[in-house]
This record gives sequence, structure tokens and C-alpha cells, in this order.
Amino acid sequence: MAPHAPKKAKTGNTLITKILITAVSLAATVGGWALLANDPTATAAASHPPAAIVPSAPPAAQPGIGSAQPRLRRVAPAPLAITRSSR
Amino acid sequence: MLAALDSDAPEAASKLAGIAERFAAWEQQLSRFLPDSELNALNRRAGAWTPVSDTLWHVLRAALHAAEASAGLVTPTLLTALEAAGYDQSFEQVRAADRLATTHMSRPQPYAWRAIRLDAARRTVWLPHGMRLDLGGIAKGWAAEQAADWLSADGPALVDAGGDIVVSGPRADGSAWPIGIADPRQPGAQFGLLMIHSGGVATSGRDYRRWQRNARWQHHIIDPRTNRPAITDVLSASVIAPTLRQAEMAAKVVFILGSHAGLLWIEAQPTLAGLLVCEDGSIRRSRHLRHSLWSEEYNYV
Repeated sequence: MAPHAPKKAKTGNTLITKILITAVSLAATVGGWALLANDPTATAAASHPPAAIVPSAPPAAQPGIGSAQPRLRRVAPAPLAITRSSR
Repeated sequence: MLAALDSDAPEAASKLAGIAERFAAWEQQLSRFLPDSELNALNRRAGAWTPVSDTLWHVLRAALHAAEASAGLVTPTLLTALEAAGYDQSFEQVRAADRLATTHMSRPQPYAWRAIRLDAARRTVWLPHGMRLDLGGIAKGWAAEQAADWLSADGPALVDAGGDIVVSGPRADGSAWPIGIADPRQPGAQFGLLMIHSGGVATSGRDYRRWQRNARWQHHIIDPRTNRPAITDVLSASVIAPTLRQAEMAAKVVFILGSHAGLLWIEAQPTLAGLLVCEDGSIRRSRHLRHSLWSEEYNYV
């Protein structure tokens, strides 16, 4: 498994089971985003902090190369939505 | 359904609230599960010219366009076959019971959609006798695109209609929208992250919407060449395309064709990128997918 893999998403209580849905459960501003959702999972994902740049631990020294310098790595943003087959 | 506006304007929330009303109206027109929907009224009038609303007109045109673009693999004329496979009521009701088949499989009718006639001047539609339409995913994609277009007047927008996702353009800071990919092998898990600047992402699969009939597993994606649920080695197919309707159509095509032919089909189309999860657990991706991945290291796809 790759480092910083995506978190497992909680099972959403989605109401999308037909062609379209009637969606009114939440209209709010979350972390600067205006959101409308009837899927708690999606709303929770959207409230995660945005992408950031943070320093990472230096990689282990490799023989013949010497100690590597600390470097920056990117932290993946939390997905705002998740593509999946119909529920 | 989820809609997001990349705006901190105070009116953004109220604008979003209007989306729900629009979706409700579209459902009333386009759902095959609502007996008094406009779509069902049209189906009941097969054999006669029937006036239709602008909404049904545009979605029907989109469905016919998808049928042409997919050489008939994605067609709105499969309702009878879908019901024969057991999907004759809402999915919750279908899944609740393993029932004996009560209807016969219908004979495949390639290119049946070409018999549908449209009169643009009168906004009327004629279906051949016995034909009934299911607008399914095309309607969902069309609705999400309409909603995103309407929201985009107030800022960059994302609309997620049951896992089919459209974005109106880059976010306000110019960055892409992060979109996860559900793992069909592990319910509730994700296994990759896409970064989408514009267009749509759709996934077709048999990991959830499936049921048993006559002790056999069935699913909801019909192969029009057999009029039965597609026999495929693909568990789920996700496609990124310039529009959500294209993505929706292409994901179904790849699913129906299977991993080998499906990947060849998608590679032949430079505007598409795809990711397939196969039933043996393997993952296959098209060449262009890397342009939409968060990073090669992060995604194990």
C-alpha cells in the first residue's frame, strides 16, 4: 500500500437509488465551501482541510549516495466527491 | 446528490438550495419508477405522436446521441430487457427478494433506437409500438450538468449525482477538484484520487446494484447484443471525459465490452481516460489517466 493512502470512506447513507433524487437535507457553508448534500460522507469529506505542503522525514540514507536532505512532500487533499457505481 | 460552489458569497447557500427543487422536478419528468412521470406517459403512448417538455426532449436527444456514439451499446430502449432481468421496481425492492422469473427475455433488436422519430418543430416524439424507454444514467448525467451550469454563474461548481460527477471548471484558485475513486472490491473504501479541472467523471459497475433471480446474480447494465445483463470481466469502469454525458456513456461501453476490448476502445479516443477494476482484482488504466491522477506514488492504480 502506498504511503498516505486515502482514508476509507464511511458508508454513505445515499438516497440516490433511482434516476434522480430529491435532495434537501443540508445547505450550509463548510470551511469556505457552500455545500448542498444529502450524503453525510460527502459532506464530511468536503470539510477536511485543503491540500497543504508539509515537510516530510528525510528518506533513509542509501549506500554510496550519502544522507539525503529533508524535502517537501505534498499531502493529498481530501476528496470532495467520490465516483462510484449507482447505489 | 451533492453540490458545491467554490464561493464564500452569502447568497451561495441559497443558490444551492434551489438545486433540490430542480432535481425533484426532473425526477418527476424522467423517472421510470414514478407511474405518473412524463417518461412513463410517453411510454404508454407508443405508436402515437406525443408532445413532450423541453426537459424530456433534450434528455431524449442526449440518449439518442449516446446510442449513436456507442454504436448502440448504450441505448434507452432496454427497459423491457431490464425488467425481464428482474429490475422491474425500485432497487431496494428488487434486492429484497430472489424471485422466479415471470417475464421472458426479449429478443435483441440492434439499432432499435433509430426507429424513434422526433419532430423538432412540434416538439413531439413517436415511439414504435411496444417500445418503452429508460433514460437512466443519461438523465442523471444531464441533470447534473444542468445543475452545474446553473450554479457556475456564481462560481466554480461541482455536482455529484450518485457518483457521476461534473465540474464547471477549475476552482477559484485555478486548482483542480479532488475526486476519490470508490473501490468495488471493498465496500466503503477508496483506492485512488483524481484531480479534475473540468468535465465529468462517471463509474459503471456491478459491485452494488445487483440481485439474484432464479438463484443467479443479475445486474443492471444490459448488453443490447443479448438483452441480458452484460457478461464482463470488469467489476467497475470509471471514465473521465470532457462532459459528464460522455463519461457516463463511455463507462458503460467499457463495462460491457470487457477489460481488453474496453481499454482498446478508450485508448482510441484521445479525449477519454479510464480506470478499470477487474473481477480478478487487477486494475487497468488507460494511458491518459496519469494526467488526472493526484500523483503516481499516491495512487495504487
